[in-house]
Amino acid sequence: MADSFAERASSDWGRAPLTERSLMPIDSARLTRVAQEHLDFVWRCLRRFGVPASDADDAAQQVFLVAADKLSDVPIDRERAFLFATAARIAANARRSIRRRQSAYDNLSQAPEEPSASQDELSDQLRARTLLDQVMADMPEDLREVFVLFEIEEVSIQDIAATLEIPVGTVGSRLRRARQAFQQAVTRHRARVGFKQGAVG
Amino acid sequence: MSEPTRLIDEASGDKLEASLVQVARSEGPSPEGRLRILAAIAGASAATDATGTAHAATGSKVAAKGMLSYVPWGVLGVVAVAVPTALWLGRGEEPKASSEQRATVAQSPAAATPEVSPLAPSEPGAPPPMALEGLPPLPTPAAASGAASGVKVQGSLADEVTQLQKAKLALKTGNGAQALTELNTYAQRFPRPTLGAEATVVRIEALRATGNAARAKSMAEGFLAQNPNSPYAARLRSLTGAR
Repeated sequence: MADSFAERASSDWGRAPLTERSLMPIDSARLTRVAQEHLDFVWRCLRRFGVPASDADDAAQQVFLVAADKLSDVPIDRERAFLFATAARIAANARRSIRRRQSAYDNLSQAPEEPSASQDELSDQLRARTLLDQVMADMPEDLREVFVLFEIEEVSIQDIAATLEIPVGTVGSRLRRARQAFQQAVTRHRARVGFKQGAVG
Repeated sequence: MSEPTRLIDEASGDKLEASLVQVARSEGPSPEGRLRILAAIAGASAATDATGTAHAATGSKVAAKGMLSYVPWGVLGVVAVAVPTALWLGRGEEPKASSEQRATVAQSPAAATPEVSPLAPSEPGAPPPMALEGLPPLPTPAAASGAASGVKVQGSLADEVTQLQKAKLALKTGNGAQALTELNTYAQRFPRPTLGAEATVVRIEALRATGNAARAKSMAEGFLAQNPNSPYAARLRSLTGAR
């Protein structure tokens, strides 16, 4: 996997086991504010990084428990970047855990019902999310980070560069490749649906 | 580099691609899940504040049950006991509620409004007398008088959850008036609510339960005007007919 932020962050924020570190007193007010402000952001990032909806609440809770432990070391203007890195790392752990939990993994990875190719029929949110999960799962992690922040969270290129600690040009390059990957995945989906419909017809 | 146009904003873009991005943007924790997470975080914070360490207890099987297997339970320690979470999950005073009922509560809301005043007649177009999500509620006479009236003002998030539970329980048992009373108490105690949106939704439900559908709709429209993308938006529209 290419140089994803989550991998690099694991050597910085949040690597040492929590049980082995002394814990600073929690700034309750700050933690509450951070949770309130960023819960949806964290939850969506976890989902796009491959955490099933059924596990996303618990994973989000874990992100903020890590934050409770480390927030005192995080500058206020880096809170979201910290949460993003933590979410990416926890999502990676979750995916590994899910692979061990075969039943859950089956649920995640088995071929879902094919969503319809038509825009109108995608009104079924559940099927749309299934397709979205598939598309995002196929995307390399370093590209997915940029895609999630830019296309879904509407973060500016400059802010993404600051968040991921990479040059602006690299953000642009990854975004282009991420879009290509996204569009190719959608195209593949259409081809599968078309083939299926043709076979049935 | 210049800011590229986002897929969802491209006029000639692929509709399916834009639709998927829109789906991703609209996702979020359920109202119930949101409350549960916030309550657990509050429990963690409170536990640590109380003990000076979050490592006091080892992972509790009780707390772990139903939670992610990969959670580092050591950190939960005392938190595991997260009273607010237990409350939310229906222990204690409240009979087991169905998931649907719990979801209703989660969406309920309250407090947003330090609205302690008697429910005013509904006036279409009138600004909703409530503090909305994302906006710091203005201190109200009711809130200011909280201490004088013997109501403890502003407690922890766990306290907020507990108070909202009382309103929920009243609604569940068909006592809308009592629910409104509990919500007014909530508004007094928490002039700057963390769960303001939830409290507002509960209040709207309570208004409907007391036969004040017009007022409920007016409040819902005020809420939706300021929070069009709230996770509660669809429910409020369905519930009240608000646009």
